[in-house]
Amino acid sequence: MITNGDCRDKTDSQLVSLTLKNQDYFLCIIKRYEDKLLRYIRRISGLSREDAEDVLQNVFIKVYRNLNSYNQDLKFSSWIYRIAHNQVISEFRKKKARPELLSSKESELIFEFIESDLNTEKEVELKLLKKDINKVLNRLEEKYREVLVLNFLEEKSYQEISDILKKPIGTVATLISRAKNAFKKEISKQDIF
Amino acid sequence: MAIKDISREVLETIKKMKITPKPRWEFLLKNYIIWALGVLALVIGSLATAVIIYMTINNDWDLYQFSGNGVFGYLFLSLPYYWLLALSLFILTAYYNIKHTDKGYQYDLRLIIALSVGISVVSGILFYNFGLGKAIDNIFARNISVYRNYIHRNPGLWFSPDRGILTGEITEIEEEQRVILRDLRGKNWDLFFDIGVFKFQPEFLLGNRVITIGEILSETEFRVKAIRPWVRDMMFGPGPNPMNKMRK
Repeated sequence: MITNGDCRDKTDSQLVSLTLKNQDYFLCIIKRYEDKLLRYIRRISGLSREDAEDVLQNVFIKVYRNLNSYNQDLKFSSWIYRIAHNQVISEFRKKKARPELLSSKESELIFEFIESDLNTEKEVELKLLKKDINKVLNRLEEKYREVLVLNFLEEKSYQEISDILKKPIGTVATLISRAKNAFKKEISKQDIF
Repeated sequence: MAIKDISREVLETIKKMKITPKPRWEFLLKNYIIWALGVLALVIGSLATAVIIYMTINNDWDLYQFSGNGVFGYLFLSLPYYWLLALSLFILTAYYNIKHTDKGYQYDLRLIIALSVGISVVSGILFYNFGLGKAIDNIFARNISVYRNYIHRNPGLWFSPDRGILTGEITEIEEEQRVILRDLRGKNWDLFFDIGVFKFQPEFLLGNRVITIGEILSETEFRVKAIRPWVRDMMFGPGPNPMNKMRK
């Protein structure tokens, strides 16, 4: 039986190689990523916790099935996030779910990152503003919300986002810039400033 | 509600359903096939480019004045659109395949399209210089009737007896200087050749479609100043080249 001690100090790539020899090592990969991926799935989807867990199970099974396709040039985390992202899209199609609202804590976090780009000289009543950020974010198009979540909440670099979404890095930069603009536009529409 | 033990459930499912990782060769093969199809699309696109170059260069430019459309009108009407369409399709196929390789997503759409076009043009010029453009056009024209009748040359451009262009099939040869031609609308014409225009051997001409340049003499008679085959590379036999006559 694999223990935490067997997983610790091993890189993702090493765990992939070990899993291909002994499937019990897959436990290490699951343990390392289950919380992150569950959070990510819930952030970008409209699924309840239970549904998100079902999706996550399918994600891990897909990961296991496709372990041999993992290319070591890529970060393992980008690869596994990509599978999660694709699985969420296919669940969206199946269930036609709507994205759920981000928690207000998450919304505030995104706001704090974007705020520095806003360049407004007006005084912002943060207390009042933060209440509305959630609404603003959830009014954004899916593609914008997704890059904001990956960039600001999952703290992924442009390169990682490019690998997860399978888009050129230039496109990712454009999407993030447009997402910020869309965010500002939504704010001004609501007369928050 | 109790929180699921995902790791346990996943491992149990894997064991219960005897799931195993797909072999590496499957992924490698898929990737190689995608690359191969992309490269194949580029090669076919390059061959299409070679034909486009050949058809554009050998576009009977000396005859454009008979079309009554001016140089640009003539160019517009005689461009090899089907080949251009084929080229676009193969470039798109190449793009689709390259985009679906392992790292294809990293490349910008414009870069891939520009590269595909660039490769097709450069290889197309090379293929044209090796004679492949001519060879492909002629193989198609000789063996595929739709291609011969509509793509090899545009019938709309090459049928205008009033302007001195008469196209059709030679159906009868009565004597050396008199020939019957059934035009594209099924009307029969007596052709009278100017002396020295074309010394042909009848067996090479009978049953072939030709383009004749000349003038209408009467309702059913046409004086031929020059003749050339509908299929560019078709031989009519020994004798002066009608192209030379036209250029004088």
